[in-house]
Amino acid sequence: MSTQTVTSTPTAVAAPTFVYQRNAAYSDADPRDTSSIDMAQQSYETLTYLTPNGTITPGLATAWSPVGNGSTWQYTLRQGVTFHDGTTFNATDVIFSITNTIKWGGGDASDVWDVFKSVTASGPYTVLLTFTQPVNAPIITSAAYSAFIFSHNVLKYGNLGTNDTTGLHAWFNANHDDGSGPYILNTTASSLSGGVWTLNQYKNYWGGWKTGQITTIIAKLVTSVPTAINLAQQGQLDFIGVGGNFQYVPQLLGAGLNVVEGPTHGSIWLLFNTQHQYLSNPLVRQALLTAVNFQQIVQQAYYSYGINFNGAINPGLAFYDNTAPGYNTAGNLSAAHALLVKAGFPSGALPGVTWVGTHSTGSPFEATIYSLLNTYWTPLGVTISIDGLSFTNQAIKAGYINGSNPFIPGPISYASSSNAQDLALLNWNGATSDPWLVPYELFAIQSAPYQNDIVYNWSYYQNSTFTNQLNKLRSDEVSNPSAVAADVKTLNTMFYNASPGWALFQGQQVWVLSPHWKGYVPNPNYSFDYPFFYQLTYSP
Amino acid sequence: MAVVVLGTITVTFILSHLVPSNPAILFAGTQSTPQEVAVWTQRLGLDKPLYLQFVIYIENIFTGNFGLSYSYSYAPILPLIEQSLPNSFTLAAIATALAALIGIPLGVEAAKRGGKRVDSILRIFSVSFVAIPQFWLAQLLQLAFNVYLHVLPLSSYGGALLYTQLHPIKTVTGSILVDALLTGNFGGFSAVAWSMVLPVTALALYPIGVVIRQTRSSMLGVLSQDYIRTARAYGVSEGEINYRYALKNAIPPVITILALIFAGSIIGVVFIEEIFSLYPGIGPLIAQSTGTGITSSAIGAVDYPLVLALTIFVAIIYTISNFVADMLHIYFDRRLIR
Repeated sequence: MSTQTVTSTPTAVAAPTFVYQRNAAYSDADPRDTSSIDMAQQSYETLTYLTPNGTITPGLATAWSPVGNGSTWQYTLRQGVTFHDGTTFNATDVIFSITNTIKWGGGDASDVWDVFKSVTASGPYTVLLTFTQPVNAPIITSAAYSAFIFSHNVLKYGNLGTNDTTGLHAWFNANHDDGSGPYILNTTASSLSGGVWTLNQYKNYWGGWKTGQITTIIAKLVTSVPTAINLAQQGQLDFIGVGGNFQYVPQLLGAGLNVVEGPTHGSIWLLFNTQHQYLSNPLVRQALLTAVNFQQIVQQAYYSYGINFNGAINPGLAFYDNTAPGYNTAGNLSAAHALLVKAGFPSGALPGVTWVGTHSTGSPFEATIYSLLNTYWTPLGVTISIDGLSFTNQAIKAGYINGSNPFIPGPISYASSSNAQDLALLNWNGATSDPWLVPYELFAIQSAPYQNDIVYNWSYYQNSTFTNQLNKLRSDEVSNPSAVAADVKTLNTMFYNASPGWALFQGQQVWVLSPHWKGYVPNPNYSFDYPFFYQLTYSP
Repeated sequence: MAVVVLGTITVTFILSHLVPSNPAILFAGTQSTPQEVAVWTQRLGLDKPLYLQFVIYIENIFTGNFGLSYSYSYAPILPLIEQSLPNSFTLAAIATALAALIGIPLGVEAAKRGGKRVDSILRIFSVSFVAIPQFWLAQLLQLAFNVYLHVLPLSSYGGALLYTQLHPIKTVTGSILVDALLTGNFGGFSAVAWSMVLPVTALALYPIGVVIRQTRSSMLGVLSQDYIRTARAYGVSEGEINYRYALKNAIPPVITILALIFAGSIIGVVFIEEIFSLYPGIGPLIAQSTGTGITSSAIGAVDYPLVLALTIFVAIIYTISNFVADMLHIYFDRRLIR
């Protein structure tokens, strides 16, 4: 990085120290449940990885293959890997990491490992992962969350019992780290309040080191986007994210910074309450979506940094079908009126309804989306009362949290009550890149013991045929790959015909990288494209 | 004082548990399954009756245990506040001192020249200072003095993002500015002081405006009194009348305002510290704890243990500030002793 231009304030961070912006504190250093993936993925590794185009590549495992119908998978582990404490990686660590992560149960563990049955060693460098049904295990072991491998020696270092998962949580969060990744977390307790976190090169990293690679990474808390942009322009920050503040992109480009755009797997989903009056009719839902100008929503709510798509599976994920049936992205009001006539409303409009639409205040652009939907739907007799809530309160309104103590998710019967929202906007990103996951979470009858509960199915769509089709897809991914294309076509047709909700667009991410650093390729499989800093090299 | 603080703890505790929310979801994650949330509900003791949770909380406070912060890696809260408060305290103290040193003389001058051009000009400035939002002013100052004029640093203590990492300042009090001075690190002191010019200016202008207006108003009331007229008749100089006789009687309400300004500045630093990336500081703690910082990624998640602890500390600061103001009132008006 270059020195800053301001007078009388010494700055001399010699290359290749890499300084990047965090816009929130590193809130959890436990690899089992952290969502701060930008830090964790530098220190910890997974058995496999997904490339940006979705291909599985080796990580701590060098080979993997299904046994039988795909309920069991054999992984051959990499030899010559050491953890940051110098101990050797082997099957014991894989068994410990996976079982301990599941036992701890934080973060996305139960999403990622929902059908996990057992993990056993068939040799010092071979493990067998068994699931309750055929699954695409390499996608699970490539997950961005809750699939990290750490040394089994952490219990010894923390002086902890085998079942002391809480104690281990505290140990990790006391700035301890025993992963095998290229960087070691090297921070102190005061780093938290100081807003600075350091990662140092792990010299014995199995991947080796080349000249020009980053040896020291400093993550610095800078919450103000304008300040971060000016710091990047002055050479004090090597890497910043603009979040949803795409309006700054022209300024950044004008300053000669390297602006990198990439897709994410996160989409903005509009969910209809399929248990409420009028909205229970699929023709009404289709009419409403027919009137929507999807292109305009991306332009006005997201500065055009989004992609419209049809179907239940995001572009970029395996089995995405760009021929899936869907809606005209420019909107068609007359066709919408015609559908409402077909639905039994002779005037081509609903009889003047006001619907409550919730969104998370953490995504302010969602209020803009509702304003636009109001303009499209007013001619159809619909007015939206916009209800911006914290995510927790949105979940309470949706019935996922029923307010009781201890926590029990709300029953699906809550959906038909007037307390439940009519519309919800959700910015949703699957915990793994399995294409089955997002439509399952948002539109399927949940698996036991939550088959009568809401969880994140805030469209309250209860169609066993659709759910079975999703489960078939998941199973066929492994046990009957030749059937997958047909599965997806059927699924997308069912999804269009029912339209319990729809993806308004898939979001993109914009990062700003100092021109001195090369080699960054956005990878939507890993939390909003956060880079693996090991891949970057310095070019003065 | 103890009653005020205890009352604050009680009210805040009850309110934080009455609002519809579920801290267990913060721990388990926003895409968590019911199983995960249930596990965390039990781990956090949220399945216990509210009165029992309150008793446990009070017991813990007396041992310095304010719990763990959800938004700061589950770190113990007391050390976080101990590390953050001194810097915010310094910023607030400097801003309050500037408000007094600049605001009071200007308020006196405005009162002396009531209705004249100087008074009008000062009124325009003071109203403007009060009306301009601090977060906006802070960004304007950054643009003007850093981006365009290149004369003052953009952000961070020491003026560079990694200044305190590259030039460590030995910790004595926890205040970077004070510690640089106390340890004889004059290079560090000047760099840190220089980097605080813009944040302090952004923080101080509002209280300066308030103090000008309060002092003017208070002085106008005093200057119309008989004893001032008598002093003039005796030929006492205008300077002595204004600053020795009038100001002494006009100052008590200004002191009250200054006490409130100081305590309020501890909260007011939220945006200033965030915009100028001044860490450690109480501002980022407040912003992170409430999920209401200027970061666009905040999901509105509330870190209740940290919010409770910060509220208690702010209540203590308000209480002490008001106590000091009362003592100063007594100093300036001995009749209050009776």
